[in-house]
Amino acid sequence: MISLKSTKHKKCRLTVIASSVGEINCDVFHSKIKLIICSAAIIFSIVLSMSAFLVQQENLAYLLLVNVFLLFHAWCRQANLAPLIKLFFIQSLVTVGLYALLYGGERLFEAIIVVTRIILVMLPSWWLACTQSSHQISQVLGLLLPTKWAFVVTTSIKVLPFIGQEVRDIYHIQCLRGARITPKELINPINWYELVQCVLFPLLIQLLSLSKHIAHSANQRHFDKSSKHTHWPFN
Amino acid sequence: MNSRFNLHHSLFIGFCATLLVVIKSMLRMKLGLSGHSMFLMSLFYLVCYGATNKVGSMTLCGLLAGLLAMILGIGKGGFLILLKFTLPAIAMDIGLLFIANLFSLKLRLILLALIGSIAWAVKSGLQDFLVGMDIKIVLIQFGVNSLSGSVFAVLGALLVPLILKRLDAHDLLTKNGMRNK
Repeated sequence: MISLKSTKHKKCRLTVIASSVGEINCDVFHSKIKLIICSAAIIFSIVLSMSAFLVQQENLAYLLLVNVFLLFHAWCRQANLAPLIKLFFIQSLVTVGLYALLYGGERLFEAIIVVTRIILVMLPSWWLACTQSSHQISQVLGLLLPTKWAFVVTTSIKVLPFIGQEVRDIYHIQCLRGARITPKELINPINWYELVQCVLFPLLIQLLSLSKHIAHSANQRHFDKSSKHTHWPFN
Repeated sequence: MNSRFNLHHSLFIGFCATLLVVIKSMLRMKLGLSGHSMFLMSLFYLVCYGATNKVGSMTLCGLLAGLLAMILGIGKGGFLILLKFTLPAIAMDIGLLFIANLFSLKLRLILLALIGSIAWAVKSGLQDFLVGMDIKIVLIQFGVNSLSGSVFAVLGALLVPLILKRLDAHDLLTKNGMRNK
């Protein structure tokens, strides 16, 4: 009776393990596909950006069409269009203004073409940032970078919340100390140096000491010793 | 990328790059001044040089800043943002090869900052030229950019000796750093 129960139990455990292995395999497959799509998107955006420089004026309309499609795609993915519109207005104001100042109204069409090209250079990168997650982009970059520098990039991203917390703490402590760095006092540019001295300097000291500690911990775990590194969770 | 840098220095360069990218993205909202980014670039690149005292540290900081800006989706440049961060850094490192032991630290830092700001202005001028902008306007923008960039870059460079002094006071500069120089 006992042996029967134990075999049933083993079978049940085996099916659970098999299904979880299947799920992991499916996850690995999906993440690989996403990685390939992200790599293709990166290459596509680079090619598109560079072609905005190189394409002749007659063929600019085709490039514009592709970029309008990208804009529509990003809009469907609920991307924030505000930075692009802001860039467009600032860029056209400066360039068209300079052309109008130097040549009057004669060469305004040329100015508009220049502004269009500048926007076409920026748009694919903006589309990439909007549609692909930063996690996937960093995974693709991890394939290109040496292990040590991939570790540095990942640690730098992971340490961002810590930096934010540290800046807040230092700022509040310095305000309590009586430093002239409250938003009202920062309107006066004379107080900007105090902000640098009271917040940036201690932050840099903190970061250098943090990097020392992380390097020690990594070296204690034989980071530099083995050439093959393991990755969690898929390896 | 260079293996001459130990993990401690590599991580510090990475953190400086992160801080540069984050502060730059925050300032973009508030200021519309052309060239203000050179203040942060020269400050952080030169701090990296001061902390490690090695040729190549500024280029690495620029590369990492570009990569992080691309990953975090900060800035409108994407691939171009990599060039934007890296070109001044490469120019500063090349300049350093020639003036490594020539002047006092302060003068050397100011010279490097000027080299970086000119490289930055050349990069934006080249971009405008490739786009097909009129050469006169390119030159005007180059002049304005290099002047405003130089002012901001020198301001950033002047802060670096003070930071290095503080780091040394906390015993954070190793024998490779700018200690006693």
